[in-house]
Amino acid sequence: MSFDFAVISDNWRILAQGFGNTILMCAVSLPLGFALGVVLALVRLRGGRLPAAMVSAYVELFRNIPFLIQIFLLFYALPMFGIRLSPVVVSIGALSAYASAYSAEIIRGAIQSISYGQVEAGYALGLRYLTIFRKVLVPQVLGYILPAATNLTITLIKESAILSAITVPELTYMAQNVIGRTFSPVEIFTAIALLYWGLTALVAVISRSLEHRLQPHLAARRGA
Amino acid sequence: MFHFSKTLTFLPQFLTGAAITLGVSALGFLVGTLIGFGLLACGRSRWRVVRWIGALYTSFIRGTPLIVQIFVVYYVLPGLVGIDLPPLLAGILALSFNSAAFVAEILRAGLTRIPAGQYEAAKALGLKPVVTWFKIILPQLLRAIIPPMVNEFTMLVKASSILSVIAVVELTRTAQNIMNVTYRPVEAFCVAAVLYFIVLFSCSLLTRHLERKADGARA
Repeated sequence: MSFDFAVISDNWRILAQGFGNTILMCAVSLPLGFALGVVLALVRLRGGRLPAAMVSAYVELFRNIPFLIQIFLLFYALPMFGIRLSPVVVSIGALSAYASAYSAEIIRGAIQSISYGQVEAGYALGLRYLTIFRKVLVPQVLGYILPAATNLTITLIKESAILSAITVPELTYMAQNVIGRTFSPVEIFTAIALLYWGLTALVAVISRSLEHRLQPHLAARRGA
Repeated sequence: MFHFSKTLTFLPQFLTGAAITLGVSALGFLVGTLIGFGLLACGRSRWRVVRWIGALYTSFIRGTPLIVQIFVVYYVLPGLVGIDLPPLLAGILALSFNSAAFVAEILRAGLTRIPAGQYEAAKALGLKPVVTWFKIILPQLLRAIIPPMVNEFTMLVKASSILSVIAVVELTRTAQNIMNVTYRPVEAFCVAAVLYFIVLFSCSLLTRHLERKADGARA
Protein backbone atom coordinates (compact mmCIF):
# COMPACT_ATOMS: atom_id res chain seq x y z
CA MET A 1 0.00 0.00 0.00
CA SER A 2 1.23 3.46 -0.75
CA PHE A 3 1.80 6.33 1.60
CA ASP A 4 0.50 9.51 0.02
CA PHE A 5 2.48 12.46 1.34
CA ALA A 6 0.37 14.84 -0.75
CA VAL A 7 -2.58 14.35 1.63
CA ILE A 8 -0.44 15.75 4.43
CA SER A 9 1.09 18.58 2.44
CA ASP A 10 -2.32 19.59 1.03
CA ASN A 11 -3.83 19.80 4.50
CA TRP A 12 -0.90 20.97 6.57
CA ARG A 13 -2.56 24.31 7.26
CA ILE A 14 -5.53 22.66 8.97
CA LEU A 15 -3.29 20.33 10.95
CA ALA A 16 -1.03 23.21 11.95
CA GLN A 17 -4.04 25.15 13.18
CA GLY A 18 -5.13 22.19 15.29
CA PHE A 19 -1.61 21.69 16.60
CA GLY A 20 -1.48 25.37 17.50
CA ASN A 21 -4.73 25.08 19.43
CA THR A 22 -3.47 21.99 21.27
CA ILE A 23 -0.30 23.81 22.30
CA LEU A 24 -2.18 27.00 23.19
CA MET A 25 -4.74 25.23 25.37
CA CYS A 26 -2.08 23.25 27.21
CA ALA A 27 0.20 26.27 27.59
CA VAL A 28 -2.62 28.29 29.16
CA SER A 29 -4.12 25.58 31.37
CA LEU A 30 -0.84 24.31 32.76
CA PRO A 31 0.16 27.46 34.69
CA LEU A 32 -3.49 28.05 35.65
CA GLY A 33 -3.88 24.52 36.94
CA PHE A 34 -0.55 24.63 38.68
CA ALA A 35 -1.30 27.89 40.46
CA LEU A 36 -4.64 26.50 41.61
CA GLY A 37 -2.81 23.33 42.66
CA VAL A 38 -0.46 25.32 44.90
CA VAL A 39 -3.44 26.93 46.62
CA LEU A 40 -5.21 23.58 46.97
CA ALA A 41 -2.11 21.93 48.41
CA LEU A 42 -1.64 24.71 50.95
CA VAL A 43 -5.31 24.54 51.97
CA ARG A 44 -5.06 20.78 52.32
CA LEU A 45 -1.95 21.04 54.49
CA ARG A 46 -2.73 24.15 56.51
CA GLY A 47 -6.38 25.04 56.01
CA GLY A 48 -8.18 23.37 58.90
CA ARG A 49 -10.17 20.17 58.80
CA LEU A 50 -13.23 21.07 56.71
CA PRO A 51 -11.45 22.97 53.90
CA ALA A 52 -8.82 20.21 53.78
CA ALA A 53 -11.53 17.57 53.44
CA MET A 54 -13.17 19.57 50.66
CA VAL A 55 -9.88 19.84 48.80
CA SER A 56 -9.23 16.12 49.08
CA ALA A 57 -12.75 15.40 47.80
CA TYR A 58 -12.05 17.71 44.83
CA VAL A 59 -8.73 16.00 44.14
CA GLU A 60 -10.14 12.48 44.38
CA LEU A 61 -13.12 13.34 42.18
CA PHE A 62 -10.93 14.65 39.39
CA ARG A 63 -8.42 11.82 39.70
CA ASN A 64 -10.96 9.01 39.78
CA ILE A 65 -13.36 10.01 37.03
CA PRO A 66 -12.17 9.62 33.43
CA PHE A 67 -11.39 12.92 31.70
CA LEU A 68 -13.81 12.05 28.91
CA ILE A 69 -16.69 11.87 31.41
CA GLN A 70 -15.56 15.13 33.00
CA ILE A 71 -15.68 16.98 29.71
CA PHE A 72 -19.01 15.44 28.70
CA LEU A 73 -20.47 16.60 32.02
CA LEU A 74 -19.08 20.09 31.50
CA PHE A 75 -20.15 20.18 27.85
CA TYR A 76 -23.76 19.24 28.62
CA ALA A 77 -24.13 20.80 32.08
CA LEU A 78 -22.98 24.36 31.32
CA PRO A 79 -25.82 25.08 28.84
CA MET A 80 -28.29 23.78 31.45
CA PHE A 81 -27.24 26.69 33.64
CA GLY A 82 -27.45 29.06 30.70
CA ILE A 83 -23.69 29.37 30.33
CA ARG A 84 -22.49 29.40 26.74
CA LEU A 85 -18.75 29.56 26.23
CA SER A 86 -16.55 28.87 23.25
CA PRO A 87 -15.23 25.28 23.08
CA VAL A 88 -11.65 26.46 23.55
CA VAL A 89 -12.54 28.29 26.78
CA VAL A 90 -14.44 25.26 28.11
CA SER A 91 -11.44 23.10 27.24
CA ILE A 92 -9.03 25.38 29.04
CA GLY A 93 -11.30 25.25 32.09
CA ALA A 94 -11.50 21.45 31.99
CA LEU A 95 -7.76 21.00 31.47
CA SER A 96 -6.94 23.51 34.23
CA ALA A 97 -9.24 21.78 36.73
CA TYR A 98 -7.73 18.42 35.79
CA ALA A 99 -4.18 19.76 36.12
CA SER A 100 -4.95 21.46 39.43
CA ALA A 101 -6.06 18.18 41.04
CA TYR A 102 -2.89 16.39 39.96
CA SER A 103 -0.51 19.23 40.77
CA ALA A 104 -2.09 19.64 44.22
CA GLU A 105 -1.02 16.08 44.95
CA ILE A 106 2.45 16.64 43.49
CA ILE A 107 3.01 19.77 45.58
CA ARG A 108 1.61 18.21 48.73
CA GLY A 109 3.91 15.20 48.31
CA ALA A 110 6.86 17.50 47.70
CA ILE A 111 6.20 19.59 50.81
CA GLN A 112 5.68 16.51 52.92
CA SER A 113 8.98 15.07 51.70
CA ILE A 114 10.73 17.83 53.66
CA SER A 115 11.11 17.19 57.36
CA TYR A 116 8.69 19.19 59.48
CA GLY A 117 11.58 20.34 61.69
CA GLN A 118 12.48 22.90 59.04
CA VAL A 119 9.02 24.45 59.23
CA GLU A 120 9.26 24.47 63.03
CA ALA A 121 12.68 26.09 62.82
CA GLY A 122 11.16 28.75 60.58
CA TYR A 123 8.38 29.38 63.09
CA ALA A 124 10.95 29.53 65.89
CA LEU A 125 12.72 32.23 63.94
CA GLY A 126 9.44 34.16 63.79
CA LEU A 127 8.72 33.61 60.07
CA ARG A 128 5.17 33.39 58.75
CA TYR A 129 4.06 30.22 56.95
CA LEU A 130 4.02 31.95 53.56
CA THR A 131 7.58 33.15 54.07
CA ILE A 132 8.66 29.67 55.12
CA PHE A 133 6.86 28.31 52.07
CA ARG A 134 8.59 30.75 49.72
CA LYS A 135 12.08 30.82 51.20
CA VAL A 136 12.54 27.37 52.75
CA LEU A 137 10.20 24.89 51.07
CA VAL A 138 10.03 26.06 47.45
CA PRO A 139 13.77 26.00 46.73
CA GLN A 140 14.03 22.47 48.08
CA VAL A 141 10.92 21.00 46.49
CA LEU A 142 11.74 22.17 42.95
CA GLY A 143 13.90 19.13 42.36
CA TYR A 144 11.03 16.91 43.44
CA ILE A 145 8.38 18.83 41.51
CA LEU A 146 10.09 19.23 38.16
CA PRO A 147 10.05 15.58 37.02
CA ALA A 148 6.46 15.19 38.26
CA ALA A 149 5.41 18.43 36.54
CA THR A 150 6.99 17.19 33.31
CA ASN A 151 4.93 14.02 33.52
CA LEU A 152 1.84 16.11 34.18
CA THR A 153 2.57 18.34 31.17
CA ILE A 154 2.94 15.30 28.92
CA THR A 155 -0.23 13.76 30.36
CA LEU A 156 -2.09 17.00 29.76
CA ILE A 157 -0.97 17.18 26.12
CA LYS A 158 -2.17 13.62 25.64
CA GLU A 159 -5.46 14.13 27.48
CA SER A 160 -6.18 17.21 25.39
CA ALA A 161 -6.65 14.88 22.40
CA ILE A 162 -9.82 13.60 24.08
CA LEU A 163 -11.33 17.06 23.66
CA SER A 164 -11.92 16.07 20.03
CA ALA A 165 -14.95 14.17 21.37
CA ILE A 166 -16.69 17.49 22.11
CA THR A 167 -15.63 19.03 18.78
CA VAL A 168 -12.88 21.26 20.12
CA PRO A 169 -10.72 22.26 17.12
CA GLU A 170 -7.50 20.73 18.45
CA LEU A 171 -5.11 18.47 16.56
CA THR A 172 -7.03 15.17 16.79
CA TYR A 173 -10.33 16.79 15.84
CA MET A 174 -8.78 18.57 12.86
CA ALA A 175 -7.21 15.28 11.79
CA GLN A 176 -10.60 13.56 11.91
CA ASN A 177 -12.01 16.41 9.81
CA VAL A 178 -9.31 15.99 7.19
CA ILE A 179 -9.81 12.20 7.17
CA GLY A 180 -13.55 12.73 6.74
CA ARG A 181 -12.80 14.57 3.50
CA THR A 182 -9.82 12.66 2.17
CA PHE A 183 -10.40 9.09 3.47
CA SER A 184 -6.72 8.74 4.27
CA PRO A 185 -6.48 7.66 7.92
CA VAL A 186 -3.04 6.10 7.51
CA GLU A 187 -1.26 9.28 6.41
CA ILE A 188 -3.09 11.70 8.70
CA PHE A 189 -2.98 9.58 11.85
CA THR A 190 0.72 8.91 11.24
CA ALA A 191 1.30 12.63 10.84
CA ILE A 192 -0.48 13.64 14.04
CA ALA A 193 1.05 10.77 16.02
CA LEU A 194 4.47 12.11 15.00
CA LEU A 195 3.44 15.67 15.95
CA TYR A 196 2.30 14.57 19.42
CA TRP A 197 5.37 12.41 19.83
CA GLY A 198 7.64 15.29 18.85
CA LEU A 199 5.89 17.70 21.20
CA THR A 200 6.06 15.39 24.23
CA ALA A 201 9.69 14.53 23.45
CA LEU A 202 10.48 18.24 23.26
CA VAL A 203 8.86 18.80 26.67
CA ALA A 204 10.95 15.98 28.11
CA VAL A 205 14.18 17.40 26.65
CA ILE A 206 13.46 20.93 27.90
CA SER A 207 12.63 19.62 31.34
CA ARG A 208 15.86 17.64 31.53
CA SER A 209 17.96 20.67 30.66
CA LEU A 210 16.01 22.76 33.18
CA GLU A 211 16.64 20.14 35.81
CA HIS A 212 20.37 20.38 35.13
CA ARG A 213 20.29 24.14 35.32
CA LEU A 214 18.27 24.24 38.56
CA GLN A 215 20.38 21.69 40.33
CA PRO A 216 23.88 21.65 38.91
CA HIS A 217 25.15 19.76 41.94
CA LEU A 218 22.74 16.87 41.33
CA ALA A 219 23.40 16.87 37.61
CA ALA A 220 27.12 16.60 38.21
CA ARG A 221 26.64 13.68 40.58
CA ARG A 222 24.37 11.89 38.15
CA GLY A 223 26.79 12.49 35.32
CA ALA A 224 29.70 10.98 37.26
CA MET B 1 -33.47 20.80 37.27
CA PHE B 2 -32.07 17.29 37.57
CA HIS B 3 -34.36 14.34 36.93
CA PHE B 4 -32.71 11.05 37.63
CA SER B 5 -35.81 8.84 37.70
CA LYS B 6 -35.85 8.12 33.97
CA THR B 7 -32.10 7.60 33.76
CA LEU B 8 -32.03 5.33 36.79
CA THR B 9 -34.48 2.88 35.20
CA PHE B 10 -31.52 2.02 32.94
CA LEU B 11 -29.34 1.04 35.90
CA PRO B 12 -29.00 -2.59 34.73
CA GLN B 13 -27.60 -1.33 31.40
CA PHE B 14 -25.18 0.92 33.24
CA LEU B 15 -24.00 -2.02 35.34
CA THR B 16 -23.53 -4.15 32.22
CA GLY B 17 -21.49 -1.30 30.74
CA ALA B 18 -19.38 -1.16 33.89
CA ALA B 19 -18.82 -4.92 33.68
CA ILE B 20 -17.68 -4.58 30.07
CA THR B 21 -15.38 -1.72 31.08
CA LEU B 22 -13.81 -3.97 33.70
CA GLY B 23 -13.63 -6.96 31.36
CA VAL B 24 -12.04 -5.03 28.52
CA SER B 25 -9.54 -3.44 30.91
CA ALA B 26 -8.69 -6.80 32.48
CA LEU B 27 -8.10 -8.43 29.10
CA GLY B 28 -6.02 -5.46 27.91
CA PHE B 29 -4.04 -5.59 31.13
CA LEU B 30 -3.41 -9.34 30.77
CA VAL B 31 -2.27 -9.19 27.16
CA GLY B 32 -0.38 -5.98 27.90
CA THR B 33 1.52 -7.70 30.70
CA LEU B 34 2.54 -10.51 28.35
CA ILE B 35 3.75 -8.01 25.74
CA GLY B 36 5.37 -6.07 28.58
CA PHE B 37 7.51 -9.09 29.47
CA GLY B 38 8.46 -9.27 25.79
CA LEU B 39 9.47 -5.61 25.86
CA LEU B 40 11.49 -6.24 29.01
CA ALA B 41 13.32 -9.03 27.16
CA CYS B 42 13.90 -6.60 24.27
CA GLY B 43 15.42 -4.09 26.66
CA ARG B 44 17.83 -6.70 28.03
CA SER B 45 18.70 -8.11 24.63
CA ARG B 46 22.28 -8.66 23.44
CA TRP B 47 21.59 -6.91 20.13
CA ARG B 48 21.46 -3.17 20.01
CA VAL B 49 18.78 -3.11 17.27
CA VAL B 50 16.36 -5.09 19.43
CA ARG B 51 17.00 -2.83 22.44
CA TRP B 52 16.49 0.17 20.19
CA ILE B 53 13.18 -1.12 18.82
CA GLY B 54 11.93 -1.77 22.35
CA ALA B 55 12.88 1.71 23.49
CA LEU B 56 11.30 3.28 20.41
CA TYR B 57 8.04 1.41 20.99
CA THR B 58 7.90 2.46 24.63
CA SER B 59 8.67 6.07 23.77
CA PHE B 60 6.00 6.14 21.06
CA ILE B 61 3.29 4.72 23.31
CA ARG B 62 4.16 7.05 26.17
CA GLY B 63 4.46 10.06 23.89
CA THR B 64 1.20 9.86 21.93
CA PRO B 65 -2.43 10.12 23.10
CA LEU B 66 -4.29 6.86 23.65
CA ILE B 67 -7.13 8.12 21.47
CA VAL B 68 -4.70 8.36 18.53
CA GLN B 69 -3.38 4.88 19.29
CA ILE B 70 -6.96 3.56 19.31
CA PHE B 71 -7.62 5.19 15.93
CA VAL B 72 -4.40 3.73 14.57
CA VAL B 73 -5.33 0.21 15.68
CA TYR B 74 -8.93 0.55 14.48
CA TYR B 75 -8.47 2.44 11.21
CA VAL B 76 -4.85 1.98 10.16
CA LEU B 77 -3.93 -1.56 11.23
CA PRO B 78 -6.66 -3.24 9.13
CA GLY B 79 -5.29 -1.50 6.04
CA LEU B 80 -1.77 -2.71 6.81
CA VAL B 81 -2.56 -6.36 7.61
CA GLY B 82 -5.76 -6.70 5.61
CA ILE B 83 -8.05 -7.87 8.43
CA ASP B 84 -11.04 -5.84 9.59
CA LEU B 85 -11.10 -5.69 13.37
CA PRO B 86 -14.42 -5.44 15.21
CA PRO B 87 -14.42 -2.49 17.66
CA LEU B 88 -14.24 -4.67 20.76
CA LEU B 89 -11.15 -6.55 19.54
CA ALA B 90 -9.49 -3.36 18.28
CA GLY B 91 -10.19 -1.74 21.64
CA ILE B 92 -8.69 -4.59 23.65
CA LEU B 93 -5.65 -4.63 21.33
CA ALA B 94 -5.15 -0.87 21.68
CA LEU B 95 -5.33 -1.10 25.48
CA SER B 96 -2.88 -4.03 25.40
CA PHE B 97 -0.36 -2.20 23.21
CA ASN B 98 -0.70 0.83 25.46
CA SER B 99 -0.35 -0.88 28.82
CA ALA B 100 2.54 -3.04 27.58
CA ALA B 101 4.83 -0.01 27.48
CA PHE B 102 3.90 1.03 31.01
CA VAL B 103 4.08 -2.53 32.37
CA ALA B 104 7.54 -2.95 30.83
CA GLU B 105 8.69 0.16 32.72
CA ILE B 106 7.24 -1.23 35.96
CA LEU B 107 9.02 -4.54 35.42
CA ARG B 108 12.30 -2.79 34.60
CA ALA B 109 12.05 -0.65 37.73
CA GLY B 110 11.17 -3.73 39.79
CA LEU B 111 14.22 -5.61 38.52
CA THR B 112 16.59 -2.82 39.52
CA ARG B 113 15.53 -3.42 43.13
CA ILE B 114 16.89 -6.97 43.10
CA PRO B 115 20.56 -6.83 44.10
CA ALA B 116 23.16 -8.28 41.74
CA GLY B 117 24.41 -10.48 44.60
CA GLN B 118 21.38 -12.72 44.13
CA TYR B 119 22.29 -13.58 40.54
CA GLU B 120 25.86 -14.18 41.64
CA ALA B 121 24.77 -16.36 44.56
CA ALA B 122 22.53 -18.40 42.26
CA LYS B 123 25.39 -18.83 39.83
CA ALA B 124 27.75 -19.82 42.64
CA LEU B 125 25.24 -22.48 43.70
CA GLY B 126 25.33 -23.84 40.17
CA LEU B 127 21.70 -22.98 39.34
CA LYS B 128 20.74 -22.80 35.69
CA PRO B 129 19.54 -19.39 34.41
CA VAL B 130 15.99 -20.74 33.97
CA VAL B 131 15.89 -21.95 37.57
CA THR B 132 17.40 -18.68 38.78
CA TRP B 133 14.70 -16.74 36.99
CA PHE B 134 11.67 -18.78 37.96
CA LYS B 135 12.65 -19.73 41.51
CA ILE B 136 14.55 -16.66 42.71
CA ILE B 137 14.10 -13.52 40.64
CA LEU B 138 10.49 -13.81 39.49
CA PRO B 139 8.89 -14.43 42.93
CA GLN B 140 10.62 -11.35 44.34
CA LEU B 141 9.86 -9.28 41.24
CA LEU B 142 6.16 -10.18 41.35
CA ARG B 143 5.91 -9.17 44.98
CA ALA B 144 7.65 -5.84 44.32
CA ILE B 145 5.48 -4.91 41.35
CA ILE B 146 2.03 -5.60 42.83
CA PRO B 147 1.30 -1.99 43.94
CA PRO B 148 2.38 -0.32 40.67
CA MET B 149 0.59 -3.01 38.67
CA VAL B 150 -2.69 -2.38 40.52
CA ASN B 151 -2.11 1.29 39.80
CA GLU B 152 -1.55 0.56 36.10
CA PHE B 153 -4.79 -1.43 36.01
CA THR B 154 -6.57 1.57 37.54
CA MET B 155 -5.15 3.83 34.84
CA LEU B 156 -6.31 1.35 32.21
CA VAL B 157 -9.88 1.28 33.56
CA LYS B 158 -9.89 5.06 33.45
CA ALA B 159 -8.41 5.13 29.96
CA SER B 160 -10.86 2.52 28.65
CA SER B 161 -13.58 5.19 28.58
CA ILE B 162 -11.91 6.49 25.40
CA LEU B 163 -12.87 3.23 23.66
CA SER B 164 -16.34 4.75 23.37
CA VAL B 165 -15.08 6.73 20.35
CA ILE B 166 -14.84 3.53 18.29
CA ALA B 167 -18.24 2.33 19.56
CA VAL B 168 -17.13 -0.23 22.13
CA VAL B 169 -20.24 -0.35 24.29
CA GLU B 170 -18.52 0.02 27.66
CA LEU B 171 -19.69 2.32 30.44
CA THR B 172 -19.12 5.66 28.68
CA ARG B 173 -20.72 4.51 25.44
CA THR B 174 -23.62 3.05 27.42
CA ALA B 175 -24.15 6.45 29.03
CA GLN B 176 -24.15 8.07 25.58
CA ASN B 177 -26.67 5.54 24.27
CA ILE B 178 -28.95 6.07 27.26
CA MET B 179 -28.67 9.83 26.88
CA ASN B 180 -29.93 9.43 23.31
CA VAL B 181 -33.04 7.70 24.66
CA THR B 182 -33.74 9.87 27.71
CA TYR B 183 -32.44 13.23 26.40
CA ARG B 184 -30.89 13.66 29.85
CA PRO B 185 -27.12 13.83 29.17
CA VAL B 186 -26.01 15.27 32.50
CA GLU B 187 -27.88 12.63 34.49
CA ALA B 188 -26.55 9.80 32.31
CA PHE B 189 -22.95 10.96 32.66
CA CYS B 190 -23.44 11.55 36.39
CA VAL B 191 -24.45 7.91 36.84
CA ALA B 192 -21.45 6.82 34.77
CA ALA B 193 -19.19 9.12 36.81
CA VAL B 194 -20.44 7.61 40.08
CA LEU B 195 -19.82 4.07 38.82
CA TYR B 196 -16.34 4.97 37.56
CA PHE B 197 -15.58 6.68 40.83
CA ILE B 198 -16.60 3.63 42.89
CA VAL B 199 -14.38 1.33 40.83
CA LEU B 200 -11.40 3.67 40.46
CA PHE B 201 -11.41 4.99 44.00
CA SER B 202 -11.48 1.48 45.48
CA CYS B 203 -8.59 0.54 43.19
CA SER B 204 -6.56 3.56 44.30
CA LEU B 205 -7.31 2.83 47.96
CA LEU B 206 -6.08 -0.71 47.34
CA THR B 207 -2.90 0.64 45.72
CA ARG B 208 -2.27 2.94 48.66
CA HIS B 209 -2.85 0.10 51.12
CA LEU B 210 -0.47 -2.22 49.23
CA GLU B 211 2.19 0.49 49.01
CA ARG B 212 2.01 1.13 52.72
CA LYS B 213 2.20 -2.60 53.42
CA ALA B 214 5.22 -2.96 51.12
CA ASP B 215 6.93 -0.02 52.80
CA GLY B 216 6.25 -1.56 56.20
CA ALA B 217 7.72 -4.89 55.13
CA ARG B 218 10.91 -3.22 53.96
CA ALA B 219 11.40 -1.14 57.07
